[in-house]
Amino acid sequence: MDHENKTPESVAEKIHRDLLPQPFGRAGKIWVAVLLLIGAIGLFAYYRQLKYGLSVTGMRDYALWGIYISNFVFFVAISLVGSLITAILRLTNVTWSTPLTRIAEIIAVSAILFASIIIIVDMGRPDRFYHLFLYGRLQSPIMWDVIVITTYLVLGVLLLYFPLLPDLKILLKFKNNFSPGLVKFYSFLGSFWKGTPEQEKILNSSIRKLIITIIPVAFAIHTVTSWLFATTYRAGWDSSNFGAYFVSGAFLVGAGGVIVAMYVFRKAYHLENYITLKHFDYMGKMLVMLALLYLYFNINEYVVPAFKMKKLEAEHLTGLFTGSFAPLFWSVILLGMVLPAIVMLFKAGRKPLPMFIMGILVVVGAWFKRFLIVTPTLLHPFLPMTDAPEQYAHYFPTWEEWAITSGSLAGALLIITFFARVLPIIPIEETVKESLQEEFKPLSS
Amino acid sequence: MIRLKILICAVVVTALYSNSEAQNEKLAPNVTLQYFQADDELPYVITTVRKRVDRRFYPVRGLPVKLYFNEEESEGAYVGSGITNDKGECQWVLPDKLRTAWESLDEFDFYATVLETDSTEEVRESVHIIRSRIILNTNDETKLITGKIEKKTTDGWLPVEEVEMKFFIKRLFSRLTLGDDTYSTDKEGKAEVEFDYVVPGDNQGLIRLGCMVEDHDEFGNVFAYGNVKWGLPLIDDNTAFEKRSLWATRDRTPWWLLIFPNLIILGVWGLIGYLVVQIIKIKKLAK
Repeated sequence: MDHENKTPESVAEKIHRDLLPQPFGRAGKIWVAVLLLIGAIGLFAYYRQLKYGLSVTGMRDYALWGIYISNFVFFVAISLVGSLITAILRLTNVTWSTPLTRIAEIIAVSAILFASIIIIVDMGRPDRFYHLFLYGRLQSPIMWDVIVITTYLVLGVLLLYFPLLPDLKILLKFKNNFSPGLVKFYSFLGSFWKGTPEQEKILNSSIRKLIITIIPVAFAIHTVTSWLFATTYRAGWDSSNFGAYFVSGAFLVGAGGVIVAMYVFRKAYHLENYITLKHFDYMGKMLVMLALLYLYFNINEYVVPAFKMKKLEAEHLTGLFTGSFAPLFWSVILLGMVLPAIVMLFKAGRKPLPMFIMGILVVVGAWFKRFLIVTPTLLHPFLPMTDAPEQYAHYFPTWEEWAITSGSLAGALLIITFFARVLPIIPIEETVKESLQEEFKPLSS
Repeated sequence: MIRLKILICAVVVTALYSNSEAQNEKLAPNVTLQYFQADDELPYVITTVRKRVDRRFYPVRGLPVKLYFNEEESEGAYVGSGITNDKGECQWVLPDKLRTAWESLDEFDFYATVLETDSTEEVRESVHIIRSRIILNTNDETKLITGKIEKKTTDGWLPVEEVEMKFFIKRLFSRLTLGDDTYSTDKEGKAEVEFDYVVPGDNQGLIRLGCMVEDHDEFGNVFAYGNVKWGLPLIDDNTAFEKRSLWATRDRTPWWLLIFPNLIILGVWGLIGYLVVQIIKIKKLAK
């Protein structure tokens, strides 16, 4: 479109059409089918776990937290991205992040939802879940986690919902593009939004209050998760560094997750005009900073105890540095933190494809990092292992655990995919406003 | 040249054949039987199945084992069957139907059959036991513990000399040895040890003393137990749990832990409530 022919209406119209939710193509359908299949296998494995008990897992007397809890910590970590991209950047008046906010909010809601689910999966008797509320003790960090996760889930849903209201009006304007069911869904969510100044005022004020509140809650959610470990005396967990260490790691994996999602949505929905090279460049720089920050906390976490090498810590650290966990440990540090930071230091590394690959490394590395935080510690108990079968000294997940964990990851991706199908993945109204300001700003400015 | 090729082929085929034969060779596991009996209780037997690899023995799990009392492979003498656990063990208490036979005999055997599997051969093993008993006596004044071992013969119960006997206190998880490691019995089949310990007992100061003959070639493992009030009475002290503390029950949560987190929870959920009200307000403004 030539600049001379551009009018505010035509610009808005083009953005509306570009950003409306699109039906799935062939690739999208295959993607959903694969996720459903993985989810179904996970459900079957969970049925077996319910039928035969936790004995179908590889968890025994010593490694009583395995990949379920690692997965839980991973989900909680990645959910923090909602507060990073949306809340922190919005609060500091960073406008370039606008196209990424909804992606971040959707990832946050899906992840925290599955964090809640996977914790129930880890319970031997899920039918007793309500005991937490009937008999829970506020002295237990597990109770704090239950409270803070529920709170964050509700705040995450509100943070997704409030900025969506103006977009719902646009979606209803184009109702001929959608199925009657979808139109009903949009009407239910926001047919009352007229965009009057009074409504706008309430909306903006509510969003502002929400983003201010969600930042401390987001910090709390992962700090409390870290306290599940740090409030014990166990080697590898007994650390005052854990809260900051977990939060910095969470921001890194969240940023990695957004980069991967940016690349995929950009390709799938041809959003090159909206998620531009500038966004990759900025996100790349942010990821370098977050990777270095997380590395800094890792150095604190490992080097200081390694300098002292107290007996139990020594066993734990030797296992990580040179023992059976060493290949995984060094892969996570080098491939999940150091390499992405180095690649993205260079301008060529901040192009979409290298960023996508590095983003995947960050996310996969982060998952295994949680495993390295959770399980090796448990294999070094205070009392020596006596009269226990040799296999109890090791932990390797069974196929049921892998299937359930993969199923939960597929479930989270399925929710993200569902949101991407029914909601505009880039906020339409905000993009229109920013584009109009950019395109038709007075020459003097 | 052709001869050489034939020779090489023959060597390779022979090597492969012998290799496959070696792979098909079944393992003959090592089986041991241990007999245990205490006071008037029925005895129990533990069979342990191990395999030998590089001069070391390792337990074999998952092998089916059958046990017979005094008569091999006889239906009337069948004690039970089981599958070896992670320690390679199976354990059976002699069933009540065999009590009369066991009580009437001076000597008897237990026969174990480890059944053949895809990877192991059938193996049979037995243990011969001479029936014995230990009589435990205690003297509250001298705090002397006496154990007397007797074996059953056609002439009745006779004392046995020079049997190594152990004395212990039965604690929650293991045995606390009293005195030396073992004491040898005299002509009367007796050994004794003086109790010179300060140990906690139950609420009344009761402790459980034990006397045993362990891994004896003829008698197996024989025990006798008795309760004495020689321990320090245990006084329940729950005062730590009655205060408000991190380890107390939920109704004794420390005040600071009730006040501050609940203030935060109320604050955040108050805001959530406020935001929901704002949605309702936006909705009303549309009308």
